[in-house]
Amino acid sequence: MELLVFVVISIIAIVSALGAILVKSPIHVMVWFLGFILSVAASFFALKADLLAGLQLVIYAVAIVVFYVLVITTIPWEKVKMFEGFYKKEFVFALPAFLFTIGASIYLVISSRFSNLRQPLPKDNVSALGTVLFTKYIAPFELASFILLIAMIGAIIFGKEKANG
Amino acid sequence: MDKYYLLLGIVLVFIGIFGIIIRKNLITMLVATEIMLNGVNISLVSVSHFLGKVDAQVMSIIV
Repeated sequence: MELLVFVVISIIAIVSALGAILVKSPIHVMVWFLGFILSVAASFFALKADLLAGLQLVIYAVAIVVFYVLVITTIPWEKVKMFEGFYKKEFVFALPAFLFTIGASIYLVISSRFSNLRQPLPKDNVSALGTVLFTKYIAPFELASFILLIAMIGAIIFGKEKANG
Repeated sequence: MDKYYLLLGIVLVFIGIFGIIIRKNLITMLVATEIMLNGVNISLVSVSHFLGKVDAQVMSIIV
């Protein structure tokens, strides 16, 4: 049953990721990307990471997709058209390297044996994650919030400069 | 079972790199970077499932 779930999720994820990088129109790219995000959320549910799956649905599937679509609509369509298409030569050269690296890393993961440290996951994922996040990892969490604050101030400053001329 | 999800994460990261190499459009390149980030997230969560600890999920939140 687990294997069946994995096969379905991974087929949807890989097909929609390939669709997102191979489809021409940016709006179609966003639709494929939305399918990809939903399949990633499903895989988080299958791995018993409930909080991350919910965050994935709220942050990516709603906020980031809407943000990208807004960006696409604010850019003039002629400018979007100017950069349409692929680098053909790079495509031809990158495809064998892409397939080779995927094959090599799949071989490495399958042939290696992992250490046997398996413990059962805590029952309540949300409370366990919150406890660890606000005790052991409080310093990186605060640092990340500080960096985000700096990025926000920088974005406001750049936006104001453009508005003033 | 967790090995398979690790493989899925690896394949998604390489698909993202491939997308950045071949596309001209900036928005599509941003989407390809998001695909790479999600591949890393899947790998982290599968390792967390494998070890039975939620530390890797905290790192996934920070990503």
